[in-house]
Amino acid sequence: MRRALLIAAAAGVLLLAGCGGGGKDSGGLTAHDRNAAQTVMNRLQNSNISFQLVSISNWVQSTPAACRVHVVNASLLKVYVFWIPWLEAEPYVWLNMSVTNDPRTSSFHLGTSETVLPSGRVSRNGRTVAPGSIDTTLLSLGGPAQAKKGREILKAHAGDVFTKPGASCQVLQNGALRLLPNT
Amino acid sequence: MAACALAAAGLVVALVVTHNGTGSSALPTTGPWRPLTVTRPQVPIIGGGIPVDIDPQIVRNDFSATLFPLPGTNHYRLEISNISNLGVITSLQWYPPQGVHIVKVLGSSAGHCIASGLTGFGGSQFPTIVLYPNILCDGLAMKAPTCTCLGNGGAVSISFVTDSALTGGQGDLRMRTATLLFRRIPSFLK
Repeated sequence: MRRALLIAAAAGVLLLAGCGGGGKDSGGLTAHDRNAAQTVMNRLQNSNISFQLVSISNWVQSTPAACRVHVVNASLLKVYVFWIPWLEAEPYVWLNMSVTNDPRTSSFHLGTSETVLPSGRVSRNGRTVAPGSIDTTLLSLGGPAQAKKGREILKAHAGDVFTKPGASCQVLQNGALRLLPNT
Repeated sequence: MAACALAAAGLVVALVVTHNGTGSSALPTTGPWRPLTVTRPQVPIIGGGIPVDIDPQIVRNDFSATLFPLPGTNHYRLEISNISNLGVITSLQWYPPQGVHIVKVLGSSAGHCIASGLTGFGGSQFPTIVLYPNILCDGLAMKAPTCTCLGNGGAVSISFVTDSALTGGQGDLRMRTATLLFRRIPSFLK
């Protein structure tokens, strides 16, 4: 009780003094928006979602290439996580989440796309398999064309998560999601 | 300005007094709360190339599959069950063993399955050639198993015809899309 009173009093003085807190950052989020978004994301901790965020990273041997939160409203977030695999034998993976305070009204859709076909690397025109190629090498050796393909797939499944208001996020070692500051 | 400083100081004091605001949504930053990292094996790169094959450290095990011969030459039925810890599997892809081609998909017990593959080999010179033929099934709703140890997830059976006998293995099954469950699917029973 004493704790709540102290915080409320101090916060009240700050607000009355017009000392910020209502202003938006470069991502269009207020401090209150950020706090609310982080609270919603915290509800994913210790669930299958946090488990899979780590599991998928281990599967494709890469940390997410993109993690983005779009704040639809105070109780609904769209969260998008995209992985570019380390090896050609592993797929691109993305997770589209609509997260609310209630798991029953949240949704979590996983998608995958092969980087190459079994036992062969798709050539630049996307229609043939490069002669002599194998799928047991690093995806990065595919060069700029492969990197472009990765960016295209990333954008194709992102929907509107890169629009404002929103921010980047980070997957932590325990599978929790942390909202990052907008720069 | 002075009021702001005073108020800010008050807030800092309040947070310190209240043990750093344990009611906040902010996350810790140490131990398991550090950013995720992934350990990869050391790979020798010589002249821009890798002299060894690198296989994934983790091979997914989302399905159990059984192949049955059907009446007719090279006619088969593949029965696939969801044994993954993801949740509901909504689409999958099956690649036959090397050297075997899908001639026709006869049908499936659920969803929509078609013969798929890369077309357009050699531009428009070979319109009938399909490279890396496979069977793509979408519109599935293979329910999650109650435990990955029970293998009681949703199933689908696909009937198809190949151009040669399936004697060299069962091919390669890959999960394409899934709807993750919020609750963890256990891997053993208590």
